[in-house]
Amino acid sequence: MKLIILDRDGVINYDSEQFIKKPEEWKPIPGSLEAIARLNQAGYRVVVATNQSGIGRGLLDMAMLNAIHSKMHKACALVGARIDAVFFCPHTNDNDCDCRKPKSGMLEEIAARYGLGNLDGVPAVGDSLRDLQPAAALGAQPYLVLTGKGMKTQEAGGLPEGTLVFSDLAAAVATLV
Amino acid sequence: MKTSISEVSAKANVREAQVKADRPAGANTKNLLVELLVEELPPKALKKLGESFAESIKASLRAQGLMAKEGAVTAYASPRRLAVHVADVAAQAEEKLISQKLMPVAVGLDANGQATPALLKKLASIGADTSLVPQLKRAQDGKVEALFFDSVVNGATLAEGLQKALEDALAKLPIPKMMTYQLADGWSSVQFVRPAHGVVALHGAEIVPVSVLGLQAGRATQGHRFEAASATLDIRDADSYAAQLENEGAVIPSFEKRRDEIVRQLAAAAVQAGGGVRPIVDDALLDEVTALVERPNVLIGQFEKEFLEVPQECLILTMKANQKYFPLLDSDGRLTNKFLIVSNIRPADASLVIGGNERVVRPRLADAKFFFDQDRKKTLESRVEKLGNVVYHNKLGTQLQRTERVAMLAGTIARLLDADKADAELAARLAKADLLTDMVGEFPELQGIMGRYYALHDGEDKVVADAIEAHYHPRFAGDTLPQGTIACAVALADKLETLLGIYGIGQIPTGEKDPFGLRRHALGILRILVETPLDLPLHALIKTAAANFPDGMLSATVASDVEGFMLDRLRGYLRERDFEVSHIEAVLCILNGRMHEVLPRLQGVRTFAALEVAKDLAAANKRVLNIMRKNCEELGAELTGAAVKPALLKEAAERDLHQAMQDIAPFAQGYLDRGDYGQNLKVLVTLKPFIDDFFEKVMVMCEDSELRLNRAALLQQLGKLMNQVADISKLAA
Repeated sequence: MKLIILDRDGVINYDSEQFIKKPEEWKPIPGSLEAIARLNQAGYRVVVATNQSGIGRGLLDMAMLNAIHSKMHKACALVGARIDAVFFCPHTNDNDCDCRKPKSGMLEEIAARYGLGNLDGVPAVGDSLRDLQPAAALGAQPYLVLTGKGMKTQEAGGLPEGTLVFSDLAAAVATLV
Repeated sequence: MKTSISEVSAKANVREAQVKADRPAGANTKNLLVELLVEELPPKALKKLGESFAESIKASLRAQGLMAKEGAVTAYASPRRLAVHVADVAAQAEEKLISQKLMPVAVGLDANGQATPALLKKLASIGADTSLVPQLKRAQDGKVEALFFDSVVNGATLAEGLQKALEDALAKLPIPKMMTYQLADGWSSVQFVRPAHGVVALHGAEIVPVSVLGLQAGRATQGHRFEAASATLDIRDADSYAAQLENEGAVIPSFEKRRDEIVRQLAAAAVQAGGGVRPIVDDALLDEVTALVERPNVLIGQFEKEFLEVPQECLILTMKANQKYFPLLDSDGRLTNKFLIVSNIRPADASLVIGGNERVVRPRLADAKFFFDQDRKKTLESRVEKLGNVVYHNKLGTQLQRTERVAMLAGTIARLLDADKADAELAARLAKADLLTDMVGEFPELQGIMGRYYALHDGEDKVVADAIEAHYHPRFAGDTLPQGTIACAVALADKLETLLGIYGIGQIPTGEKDPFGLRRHALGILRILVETPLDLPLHALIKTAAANFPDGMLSATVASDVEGFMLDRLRGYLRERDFEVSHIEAVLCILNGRMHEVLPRLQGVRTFAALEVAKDLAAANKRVLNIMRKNCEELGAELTGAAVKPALLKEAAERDLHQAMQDIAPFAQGYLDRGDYGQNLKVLVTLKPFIDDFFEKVMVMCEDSELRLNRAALLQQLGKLMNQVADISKLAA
């Protein structure tokens, strides 16, 4: 089984400093949904791992998050794409949980759910350092995309060794399939 | 006394019998519906999962006496659900008579017929006491007489039976890969192919209280992820399931019905697209898209016409394999720039779906065009040397070395077939060069096909280009054969080289394992020789192919091993064509590698065997052969090739037989030369009375050695005459 882990905000959809709080604010980055379709067609299971501290901060509730994800799934269906599962961390920094990236809990959970002993070589795509760190720590292949916070992340430097950099998800996927 | 069935049957020595056989489902039966709602199942496995689920539930219910033998079973399978509707299911199975062996009489009863402590202990263990002793039955159990306790137990209730059936069915599902997920309680984890979200179990309108995968059965399910009128759907009763899902849930739950609907919509969309176009027929693709949608919505997409410059095989493959689209062909079978999308979603504005899908396919078509343009910048010829860098097999050298062997053999075969040796050698030399092109690197299925396009672009002869593509044929059972002598020569050479090489280094197919496809290669060679047909003796082909390998590379016995291997394949191939084993053996006996004659000879034998006298003649022939075998031992070399001396034919019967043989021999030979094997055999029938007469009146092993030798020579000649088409003795019962 081929698996790929994507961050959500700044990779699939445009990010917002003010958080994505309702479906209307969720707008796909051009080419990202088509890239997911391409991954599906190449036999990949596409999994999203996203920090959603907006929930912990009380900016949106679970029903709203579900509504946002409904929109995402429907938008995917329009181009024949499918996201297999969405893993999210609802906590804020103060909760000191194990799942909030850059902690590795969410990625470990994904490995366990899919019956994988490890994430060796599994592509993990993100736009910020905290997406790449847990991936690198677990042996996954970090991909930085320059959408979202990607440019700033690249300028700041200190990327995990072996990180591959692409302009956006579509470009990253083109090398994978 | 009544006990629950599960208690009793768990114990050993229990014989069960249906109290009323063949009447498992009483009058108060109702239809049953079971559905497991899950997340999107793996599409390639869906059809099998659905069939297995329904089959297991049925088998288990039947085994437990909960359904009638002929009860109708309807299976449902969609991306998000496995379900089954079973007609006439009982709420409870019939009572069963249980006969339980307790112990041998000698152990259970003392001399006075009183229960021993051992028996009392046993009775206590099944909840009875000494009062039961008079009811115990005595019966033979093997050599000893034993005590039996007969009781009637209640049949399983549907809840018990369905619980078991569901557990069985889930355990038996052919699941490609398990997933672990959390239950709604947030604590326990469950393993299943995909997370399950609900179970519906309805007997008529009543919920059957079962639970699996941490889910309690109810009547609520979900319709289409995006199209259902409401989030959940309450199924009223077992019979309303399919209709409710269709009408309220926007889901066609039946795999077959959904598939039919896709076929219908594809045809309708093709008409709508206009210009007499038709979608490509592909059953595997149909099955796959049926497993990807809960309610199909077929839409027409298109791409820029400039992509049509790329060979259509590439575009078709891209659309089918990667995008699951149905390409549209015009009435001449040429690809158009339109294709059909089977979507799972039906928005008011279909252009969203069409535009999205067109955006997905365009980069792939652009890739194909890029590969095609790049590849054509280098000739195939210029790539051949590079094959020297590709290891074919560490014991057999590089692809280049292999190519050289194939070319040499192809040249030899072409010469034998009176075709241009140089053409065959060139085609063989270029045949594998397309493996190094980008297009074939991306789409391995296009090997040979691209080779042909590139060869034509390089200005190679059409015969050579066609042979490059055709040399892979036949690729699978029922595939077309290479056409033309050059193509046949290269195809034979390629397959023989593979077969000899791989077999010769000990990679012999065993059981299911045939990683190099040697059986397929062997069958390909046979089909080309038999069906084309080509007059090339098999053993000579094999010997020549083996001789092309460097000394010592292959095992010493490879030629005869491969010939045996191929003859076994030939037997299988002929049996599949409905020839009888005895006929096949009769022909193979004398075929001597002339594969091109095997079918007409077998047809001749089949026609002959249908005649009344065939069996008699076969028996007579067997007698001739037996006598000859005996004579050979006694007369040895003296007999070999001895001619019949008419002057020494003393008896009338032997003179008559000789004369009859002389009379028909030219005709038999004539038919044989014409390839009319049935007629040849039919003429022999006229010998039957003479042979019978001969055996009745003539003593072959007589005292006079001169006479004896002459009679043996006569029989030898007779044997030869009778067994030109096949060894007729093999047809004897």
